[in-house]
Amino acid sequence: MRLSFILKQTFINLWTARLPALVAVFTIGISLSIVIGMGLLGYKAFTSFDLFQDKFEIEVFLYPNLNRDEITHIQNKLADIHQIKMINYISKEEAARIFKEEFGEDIHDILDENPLPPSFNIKLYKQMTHPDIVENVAKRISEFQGVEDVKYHKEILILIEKYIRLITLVGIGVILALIIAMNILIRNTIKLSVYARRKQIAILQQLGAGGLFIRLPYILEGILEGALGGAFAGFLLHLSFQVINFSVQYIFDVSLAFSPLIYTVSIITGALMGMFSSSRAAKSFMYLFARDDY
Amino acid sequence: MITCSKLTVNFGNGEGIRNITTQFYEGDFTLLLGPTGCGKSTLMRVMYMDILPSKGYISIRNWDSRKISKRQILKLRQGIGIIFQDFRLIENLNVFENVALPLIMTGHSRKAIHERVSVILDEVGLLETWRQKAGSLSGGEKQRVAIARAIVKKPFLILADEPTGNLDPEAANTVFELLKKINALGTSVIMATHNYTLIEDTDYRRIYMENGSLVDL
Repeated sequence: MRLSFILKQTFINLWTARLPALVAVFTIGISLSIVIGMGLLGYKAFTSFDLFQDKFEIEVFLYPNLNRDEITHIQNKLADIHQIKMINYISKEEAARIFKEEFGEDIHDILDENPLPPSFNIKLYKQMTHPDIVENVAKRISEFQGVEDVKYHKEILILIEKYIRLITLVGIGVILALIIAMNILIRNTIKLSVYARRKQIAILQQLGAGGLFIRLPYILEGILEGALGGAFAGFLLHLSFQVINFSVQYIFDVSLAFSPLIYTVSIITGALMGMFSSSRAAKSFMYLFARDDY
Repeated sequence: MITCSKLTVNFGNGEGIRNITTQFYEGDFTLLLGPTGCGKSTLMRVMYMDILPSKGYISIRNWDSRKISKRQILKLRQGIGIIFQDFRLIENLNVFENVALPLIMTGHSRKAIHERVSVILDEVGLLETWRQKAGSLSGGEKQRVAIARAIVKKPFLILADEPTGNLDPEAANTVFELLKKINALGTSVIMATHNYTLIEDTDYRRIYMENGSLVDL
């Protein structure tokens, strides 16, 4: 009986302030779709960077005339560098085989001899791929006796680092701003509902109703508005994916896969935001307005 | 049952109640008399702890205004039936829902609520109107709904603040008769009024107030 009363009150509240509620649902939907869209973009960017970090290698070219002991000595010195995760030795013969694999021609047929130097392919720990750290490691290795050259994609590393930082900063800024905006919006609709029902709240308080009993219809109202906004956000994202896929299908041979999980995530995020904003708003406005009238 | 000791409420604008010391007894019907603005409503608000005293204290059964918590105030109010001059019904709810409210909020079962509310509505003569929205009732009917809402939870005390103030003489009489009947069944009643015609034939205890203080007559 208590639950059905609370649910009935929730729907009465929603119906009474239906226009602000509708505006809230639409605005939450648009904001949440931007937030989740940016989140997805950020996730995509980070996974790409993660992949790049995984594949990132430093090539250490050795002088061709080094003997076995000298190569082992360099390998031991490399193993002492704690940023290095994996060392892979590539002999002259191995280098020639890779050359043939990649270019389809035997180096001996082209030049009568194998000019490719022996080398080490080094992988660093993911967290050690910051451009400054990589530069330090490369500089240290280049000073080893027997090392002719050290090569890695420095420019790409710097570029990615720069963009990741930019995406993170802009993303966090926009997401925070939109979350604050959604919070204000839900808070305002709850404020209107509480104001419209201030006499009822005062009556319930005088009858001895607990705070939660009074607040629950408003909290549920916020959850419903948030969840509906979330569903609308899911729909907008679904639509955006289809529009993007349709627009780029003639240019690139790729398509974005829309996961139904996005609907679940946006509905749950909206509902949680609604619950958080409305419970705080109901609590503060309940005491503010209810005392004014009786 | 109720002890007021040097009870003072200061609203800061000269209004309020001053230095009230008295007792209200279990099972009594007490009439709180005095002109408008003399502090009757304020004293009643202190009784259900809507206002806490600025000085002195009030104790009601085991609840003491000096050490009562918010949660205990709710418990206290659940044991008191309050009736107001302006009825204070929830207009978008029907008669049944208004009366059932105190039971709904304390988590009674649907069956228990239906049984209890039906009995009470029958007692106040409103069983036929249970479906009607509270907003569509006459003043007398609204006050009877308010009385039904006050007694549905079997309170130990009824506080009636000018319950006949907005009613015609006939409706006022019906309401007063209902309160007398409730008191006869053992519930303490404190009624604030300035309708002296209504109470002239009764021998209930009378407490007079003037300018926020008790008056000895």
